[in-house]
Amino acid sequence: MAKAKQPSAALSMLKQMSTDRQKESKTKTAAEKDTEKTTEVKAAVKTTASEKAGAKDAAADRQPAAEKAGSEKRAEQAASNTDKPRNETASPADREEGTIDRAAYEALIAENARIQAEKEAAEQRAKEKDAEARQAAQRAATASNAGTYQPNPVYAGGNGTYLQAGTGYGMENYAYGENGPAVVKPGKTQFRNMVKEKKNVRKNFLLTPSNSEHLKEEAEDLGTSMNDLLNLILEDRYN
Amino acid sequence: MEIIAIANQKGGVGKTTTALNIADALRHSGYTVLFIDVDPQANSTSSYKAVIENTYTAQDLFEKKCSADEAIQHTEFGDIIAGDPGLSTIEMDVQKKMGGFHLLKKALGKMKASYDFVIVDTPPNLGIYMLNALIAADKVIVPIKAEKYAIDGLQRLIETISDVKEEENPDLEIAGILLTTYDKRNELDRKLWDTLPEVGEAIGMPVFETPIRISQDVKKAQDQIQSLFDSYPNSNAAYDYARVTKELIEGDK
Repeated sequence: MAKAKQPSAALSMLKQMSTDRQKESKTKTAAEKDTEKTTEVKAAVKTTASEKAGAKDAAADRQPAAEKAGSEKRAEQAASNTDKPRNETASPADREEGTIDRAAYEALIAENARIQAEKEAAEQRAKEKDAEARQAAQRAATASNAGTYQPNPVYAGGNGTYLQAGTGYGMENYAYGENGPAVVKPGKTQFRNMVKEKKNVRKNFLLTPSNSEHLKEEAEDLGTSMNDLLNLILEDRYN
Repeated sequence: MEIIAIANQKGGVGKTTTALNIADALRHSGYTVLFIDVDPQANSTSSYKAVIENTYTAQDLFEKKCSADEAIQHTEFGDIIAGDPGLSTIEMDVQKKMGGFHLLKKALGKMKASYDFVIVDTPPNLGIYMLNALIAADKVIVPIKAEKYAIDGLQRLIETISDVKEEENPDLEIAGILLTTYDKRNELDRKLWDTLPEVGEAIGMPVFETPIRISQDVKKAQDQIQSLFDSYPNSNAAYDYARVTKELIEGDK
């Protein structure tokens, strides 16, 4: 019966941490949503209140005298705007302040934008130049290395091919080429013997099903994994 | 984003192994991780199968030739800013630069890509790159090996960390001392493990509750350029690194 693979304690711990984190972030998101909802409700309440106040103001504005005064003011404003050149039509706030030269201000902004653009373009050119230099260096390095590749003489016998196995002196697995020994695959019989040996070793260390059950119970009692418990037992046994 | 530096000026204490496996464990727990290798030996870079030719590396980052986003390489093991042997040649220049100690912090501050964790593997000296890592980091893990001079070297590191905390990075937190390659059959290891909590208390450093047990599987995984959690998930070291990662995350809560 194939032994069931034990989950790694380390990975389980990391997974648990990940799950905890997700749970935490979900809780946070829920809390954030609640806060958002509360803010929305508060905003809605505020809007309704301000709308009501606005309606009251509008009612007051409906008075004919005030309306007349307003239309006169608008007409005056329109007249003053047409007298000025187009680039001098500043915003009402600017006009009221009377301190900002709009045209000079816009020219300054344009100048700043131009300087910034030039700076960025220069930086970009420097970066491109740097990248080109790096590429050129790489090309030069590649060109200088071209044609100098040598196959590993130890593993490939110096010419990239496997060589015939030698015999005697325990050197069955090695063959000598022109430039040194080359590794070759073991023969069939040898391979079978190796497998057999491996199986024997494995059998000696196999746990019987009853042992396995017992170990599992013990591990559960101790609150650890079977693998960790086994490691502990082995450590105690061999230390 | 939490930046964790793995630091000890002593070599061969398991800094790179710890950095790689904690990054891997975090990734297996569903976190997004960026690995930064500022060690000129660039062993982590090899483990990530990242390239250093014709691409931006940590060296370019320190020379301000590229941004952190441009230096990130996406490999099968995760995202990394590769280390470069050239880092050792520019060390003096970086040191002389105005703000040379804050280069990594600034680069990570401007980074657009978002990660849950950034793990920084540092070189085995108290030089400019380790200081950059300590100034940029939120936490520092100090791996130590069970050997005679393990504790002696800690004193200088503690002084450096204290200086960084005082002058540059008051938020720097010591996550803990981590005992690596712990072999309970060895008397010295057992003694050190038994006395470590007291030592930690005396020097004001917490100690991770889990030591990393010695395991051949770590070496095998590194040799095969494989993730320990993928190739040897049942090994003691994989279990221990998972527990340390759990401690690290639970420490945040």
